[in-house]
Amino acid sequence: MADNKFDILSISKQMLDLSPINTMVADKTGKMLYMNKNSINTLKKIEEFLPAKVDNLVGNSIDWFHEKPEVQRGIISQAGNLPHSKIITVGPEKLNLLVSPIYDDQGNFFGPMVTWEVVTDRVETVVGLKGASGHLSRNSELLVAIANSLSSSAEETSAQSNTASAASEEVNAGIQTVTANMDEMVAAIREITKTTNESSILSNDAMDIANSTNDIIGKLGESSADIGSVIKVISSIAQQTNLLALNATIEAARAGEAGKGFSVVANEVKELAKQTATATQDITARILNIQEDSKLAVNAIAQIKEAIEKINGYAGNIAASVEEQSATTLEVTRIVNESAEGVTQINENISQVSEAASNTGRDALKAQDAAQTLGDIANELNALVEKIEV
Amino acid sequence: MEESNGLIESVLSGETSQLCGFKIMDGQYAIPVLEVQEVVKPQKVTPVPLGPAYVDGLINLRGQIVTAINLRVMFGLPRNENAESSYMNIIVRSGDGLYALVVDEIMDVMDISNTTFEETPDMIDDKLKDYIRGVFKLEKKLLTLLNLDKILDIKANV
Repeated sequence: MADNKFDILSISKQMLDLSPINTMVADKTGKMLYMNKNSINTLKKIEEFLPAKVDNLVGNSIDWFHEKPEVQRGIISQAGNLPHSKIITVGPEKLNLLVSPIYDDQGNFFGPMVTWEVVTDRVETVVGLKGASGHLSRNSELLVAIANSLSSSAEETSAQSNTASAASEEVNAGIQTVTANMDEMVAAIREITKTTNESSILSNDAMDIANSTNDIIGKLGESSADIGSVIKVISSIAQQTNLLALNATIEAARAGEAGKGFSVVANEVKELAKQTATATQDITARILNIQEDSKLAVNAIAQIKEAIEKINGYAGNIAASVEEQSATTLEVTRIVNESAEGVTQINENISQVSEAASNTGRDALKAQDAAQTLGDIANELNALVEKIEV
Repeated sequence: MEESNGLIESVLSGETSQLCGFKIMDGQYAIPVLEVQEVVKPQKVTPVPLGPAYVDGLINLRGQIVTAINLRVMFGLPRNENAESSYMNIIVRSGDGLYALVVDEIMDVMDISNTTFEETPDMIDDKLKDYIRGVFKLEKKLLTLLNLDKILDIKANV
């Protein structure tokens, strides 16, 4: 028994010394009585933050373990207060202490036993974890909000791209109308050009005809002058015939009864000569009329030529204007075609935007789900972290 | 003279007179056609110096000499200066001589009823009265019948 008892003490002492748990014992007043080897080794690592050398700690007060030593003394002096757990700060390190009561053989409270460990890393991890999970929670809420906003933005974009699509359809229809109008205009200009060319050719022809008409009328004038001189000859012959007939009549009268028949013939000849004279006068008058009319015709032709020249001038102006118009129309057509290409491009872009908005919408919903899940996870994590005791 | 007067009177004594009418200025005159030899257009006239004013000169008509008597001048009318060739010659024979009466225009040979004839009116100038035998009243005009013998009695007129 005694051997056993001794053995147990000795073994207990060794066990305590070799225990990997830092263990220290003090009396009720707080004087350090014992530190196991692990405690010494651990404290040596933070020796610079301690009030005394590790080797000098045994036998001295353990006040340094607490920032308010009187509170600590109050706790450790009464077994009823124990066990007591506390995390203290030594320099940069956190030490987790468990103060347990030690009793003597009679069951009286002897003093506190402190088992402890350096928990700096764990504390920091938990603090970090708490912060991170809080952060996660907040950010997941933020993410939900962003996903919501993104979703509504995507819907808005989709609606806007539909509006844009409708507008671009209208623009496209407008361009089609313009193109059709331009085609009509080009056809009209071609027609005008053709007509103008034809009118130019016609007026040139008319000019040629007017010139040749002028020549013809000139020749007519000459011819009528020729006729006039022929008429003079005829007129002179008629006068002479008249005179001859007159003399024949006189001869017949002088011949008396015998000349009666001759007189009748002479009178007829005279009558014919008079008719010839009348006819030549008539012709002369007519020739004068022709010559007068020829002059009028020449004047009229000069006016016609003037008018034709004016028409030619107008045709030239029209041709120039049409050319300008043609160039403008080509330019407009070119711009309209470019616009059409632009509208096609816009349509494609709008389709892409619309598709992108749909994708964004779907992704935003997914992101919302994911954010919610993330939030749930963050909450769970928070709950778990809360439960961690260092 | 007697013979010639006999011709004009015998003409007037019939039913109609066959006359050769002509114009001098606005007036219409006539002589019996039987007194006319022929009518010719203007000929080359050779002036006669110291002759009466109404004698234009002499004409060579187919070899015969004809004395041209300008009736305008004889009747105290202005000469027809501006119409050099616009006159006619009435060739008449008197006795052995040939005369050309220079007139403005020959009208025609006309048959005119003698019922329209009247003796020379008194108010006509005495100077002219000697040359006029009388007038025929036509529808719109008067035709003066000249007394050729008086006209050709050149000596008496000088």
